[in-house]
Amino acid sequence: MSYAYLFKYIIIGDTGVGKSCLLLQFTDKRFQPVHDLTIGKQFCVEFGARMITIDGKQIKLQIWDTAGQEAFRSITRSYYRGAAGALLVYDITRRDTFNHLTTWLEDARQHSNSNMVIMLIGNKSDLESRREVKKEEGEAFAREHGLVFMETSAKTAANVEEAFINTAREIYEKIQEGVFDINNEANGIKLGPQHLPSNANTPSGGASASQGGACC
Amino acid sequence: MSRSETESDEDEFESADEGDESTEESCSDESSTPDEKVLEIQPECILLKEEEKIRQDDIQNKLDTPPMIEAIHVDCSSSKESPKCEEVQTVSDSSLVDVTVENINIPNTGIISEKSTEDTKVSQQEEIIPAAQLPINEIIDVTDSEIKAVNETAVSDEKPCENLVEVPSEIANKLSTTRSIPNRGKIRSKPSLGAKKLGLGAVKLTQTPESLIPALEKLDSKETSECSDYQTTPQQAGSSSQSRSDDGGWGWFAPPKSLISSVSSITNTILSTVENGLNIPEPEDLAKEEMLYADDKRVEVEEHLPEQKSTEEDKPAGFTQLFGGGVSNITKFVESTGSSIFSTGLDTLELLGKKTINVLQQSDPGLKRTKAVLAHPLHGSKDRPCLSQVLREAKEKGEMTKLESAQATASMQSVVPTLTSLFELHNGIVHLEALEMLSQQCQTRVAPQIRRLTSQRKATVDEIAALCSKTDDSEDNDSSDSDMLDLQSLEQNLSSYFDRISLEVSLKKIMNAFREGISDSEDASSSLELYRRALDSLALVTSLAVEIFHKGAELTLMANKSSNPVAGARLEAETFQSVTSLLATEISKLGSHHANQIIRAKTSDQTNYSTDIYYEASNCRSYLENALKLMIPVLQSRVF
Repeated sequence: MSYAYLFKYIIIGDTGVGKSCLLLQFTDKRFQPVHDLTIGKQFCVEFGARMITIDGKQIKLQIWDTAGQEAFRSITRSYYRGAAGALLVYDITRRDTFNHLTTWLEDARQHSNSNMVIMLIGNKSDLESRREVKKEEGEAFAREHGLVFMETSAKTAANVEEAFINTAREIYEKIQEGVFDINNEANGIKLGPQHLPSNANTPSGGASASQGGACC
Repeated sequence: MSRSETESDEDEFESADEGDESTEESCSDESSTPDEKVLEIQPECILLKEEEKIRQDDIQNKLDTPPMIEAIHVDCSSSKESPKCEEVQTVSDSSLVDVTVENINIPNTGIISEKSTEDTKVSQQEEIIPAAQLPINEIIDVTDSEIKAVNETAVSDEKPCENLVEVPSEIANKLSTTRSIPNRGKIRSKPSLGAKKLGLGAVKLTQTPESLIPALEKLDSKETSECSDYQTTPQQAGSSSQSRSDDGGWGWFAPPKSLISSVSSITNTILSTVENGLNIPEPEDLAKEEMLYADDKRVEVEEHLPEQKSTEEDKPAGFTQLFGGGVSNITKFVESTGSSIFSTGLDTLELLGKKTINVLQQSDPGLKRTKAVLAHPLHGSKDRPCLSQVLREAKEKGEMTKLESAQATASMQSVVPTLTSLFELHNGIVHLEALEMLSQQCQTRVAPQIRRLTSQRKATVDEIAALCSKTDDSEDNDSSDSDMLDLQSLEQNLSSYFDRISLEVSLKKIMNAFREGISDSEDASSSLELYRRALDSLALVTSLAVEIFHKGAELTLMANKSSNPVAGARLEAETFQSVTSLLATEISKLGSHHANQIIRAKTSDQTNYSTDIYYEASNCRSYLENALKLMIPVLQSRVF
């Protein structure tokens, strides 16, 4: 229950690229082949949460899984703000989802804070035979736009953990570097309810100690 | 399975101690001064280290080399406790398969190649002990009593314990005179050397070193208790375990690589013993030969000795050692001196290694970080962490955590979760946040336009704000004609409200939450338990109510505007206001229901808890009112 930090994530990308499946795989470790479209549940956003550990610290990832449909874009955009991390997902078997990445990226950059860590994800890597977007293309796009890149499969769970956890690690490093102001909740980072000054006594770094002091 | 595994842990552990003990004991029984021998033959180890490669190549064919004798010695010590051994071996077989799979990810890449053969080698080893009976039987005439003794002990696998007591010690005595005593100091230190590294990695790299500790402690305690049951040498085992824990309790750790190497070498040695058994020389001759050999090299060795010792002392925490030359060093020592320990303790070590890997992987999937750390060891650094210290600290920490968790669970009995934490748990807060975001976005859109509005629209905007800011309880009194929750009419009312503004809001979840809230408090034992359930039920219902507002806001924003936006917006505001007061009323009733349950439980602390429930129910109400206020900009944006 208790955590040192809470990171807010958003998952964005075209409809049907497997955003909700990625979330389900990460939070519940299961795959639902015929997942209702997020908006099918009449929500523009669904929530998932999972606790992870980085550098000995409990971190709660609170994931906002947005609907990909164009019609809801105006609403989903409102949820970008205050995210510390974003998973920008495309489907390696559908080139159009890759082609829309630029729009998504612009949208994300415009409506969220500039320090947001964005992880580009080519999902459905299990469907190699139907691949339309080469891994190299994804890598090139990520390099060009300063994103982290990974190919995942929500079905086989390949790289799913890594995608979420590596993003968290980047955010965590940014906190350590002082890039994120953890006292500003607009950055998508919250201090946990249990973040007591006694935590500052742990030997793992002066950064967290001073931050811990600042928060209290 | 887990039970038998732990059992085998102890057994193997004991065996390891046992073998060690027998060597030591026999050494002290020996009439000649054992210390002298230690000095004499210790250099031999170092020499062997230098000649390791040759030795390993020759080991199978060299019948007159000491290792062979040790192999026999291994048989002795292991068969000495044959009742246990059988058990150990069967377990090791199954556990090995797991280890093989588990260890593939270990940074120690050397393992992977060897792993494939490990299974077969170990199983060979198993078979060899009974198989050895035949050839050795034939040997008896040719060789001396030593071999006879060995044969006896080998056979004694099937014999009852009583026969075992004397024979092995005899053999141990004789064998120790030949060679294996001198290194007894090393027997202990060498395996632990490797263990330190592995253990250090585990402790340093995982954030949960405590998880290792329980396992270790379990071994520790169980071992002692098992020892007392052990008929043949209860005191020996006890004392040896004692001395081990004084050491810091290292003896049972070792890096997988050295394990495997020693498995293979032991296996090879046994094989060669069996194959070439006829040529086994007399142990006394061997001993003499060894002395001479050692004497020759003594001066040279003594020069190396201090250096060797210092490196030994410095190296324990060096990570590279595990993968580089250190492995061979360890392995060699293991081969030359520690075979008896390893032959019996292998499975323990493997199980521990497996556990370590599991622990490592828990917090470090793919072991990437572990690899990273192991790849960049602190070369030559004086302040390398000392494993014994790290482990001791880990143990202390583990004990502390245990204590703390015990205290935490104790305090959990008295401290109850807060409404806020439960509200967060049921995603109430995150929905409220999302609603707030929508609200803010609408606000930024609405604010600049308000000034330009016609008076009629301006009035509607104000009206909406007023409607949704209303917090009086008058509505409450109107609708609450009874204190009983009427879920059926609640559902009907809610759906009729939403139908009025054509919003398709699913009420299934919140209705279920209400139903459960009413039903589940019947069989609670204490008023505290009742209070907890009450709080949880209130938090759940409130969270779902906030979710409805969030969903309602989204749907409202997406819905087509009515032909008359002013009237439409006002109707929407009225609807949400009605929904709020209806839900707030029902949540209050749910609170009363729970409070009554607590009062009916007739316990001493009922008063406080029931009062708290009323209080928290009113907090739930404010969550809803908060949500309704957040709706204002959303609804106002509909006017334009």
